[in-house]
Amino acid sequence: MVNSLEQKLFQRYWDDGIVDLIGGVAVLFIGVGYLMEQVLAEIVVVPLGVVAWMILRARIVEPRAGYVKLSRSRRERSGRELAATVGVGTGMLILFVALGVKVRSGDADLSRWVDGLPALLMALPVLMAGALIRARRFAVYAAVFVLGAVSGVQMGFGPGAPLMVGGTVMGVVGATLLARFLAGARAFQQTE
Amino acid sequence: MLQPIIPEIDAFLHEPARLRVLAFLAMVDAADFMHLLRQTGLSRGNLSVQMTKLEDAELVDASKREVDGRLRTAYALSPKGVNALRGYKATMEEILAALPG
Repeated sequence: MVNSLEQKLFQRYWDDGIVDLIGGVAVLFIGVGYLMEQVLAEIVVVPLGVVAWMILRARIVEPRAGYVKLSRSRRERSGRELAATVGVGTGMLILFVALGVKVRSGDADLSRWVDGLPALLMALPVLMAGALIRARRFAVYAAVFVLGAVSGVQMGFGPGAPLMVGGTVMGVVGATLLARFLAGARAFQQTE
Repeated sequence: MLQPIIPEIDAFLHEPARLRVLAFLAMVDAADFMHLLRQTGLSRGNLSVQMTKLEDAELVDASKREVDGRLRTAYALSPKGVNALRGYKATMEEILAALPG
């Protein structure tokens, strides 16, 4: 019973939408990077995203929802899972950069399937991040990336467009969750 | 005189509001007053009274931390609190096992 309550607490920890919002903006930024042929700029996205999450959590969530330090066993487990997710995410970024450079160098054979690959590859760390924070909505985001990749290739969009679509979906859902969290916090303060 | 079969329940821990606070603190390393307020659903006044009682009984440890220039109190189960909850759980498991399923 305690385990299921702890699991519920851990899931709620991520329900404020900030991780979705930052993740969405980060992916949108990567997509824009592809459009502007600034593929190397992607490297700064992950560390900037982590710092932004920490700042927003401390500035927006904690003053309203309070501070909690999760149990050591949960933090250790999350740490291991996060390391795996960051590893996969970093691998994807390296692959993106390599593919971006290849496309820029004008390899025509690669260009068609390469266009859908970034969004397809993005689905994997997004799915892993969803498993990490036990949030099913991340499976929907991953599906959006896969659909974006497939339809992007068929319609002849560049590699940036599917990422921008997926990033926008994540960002909009995140902003909606954050607005709901803030409204809930206001209602809670009024009943106090 | 015969010893009672049903073990004695710790009335201090068994109080619903205190038990909710202690059960929550058993799941985490620490939580501040605001977080406990949100997660237990207790009123500010009730939670304040319960936290004072738990501190007085040395079942929880309180520590101050500064957030944006304001002092916030974070609470954690003390070792005495952990032992008390272990004993309470064993007693309740024994009693609950006797109830119809």
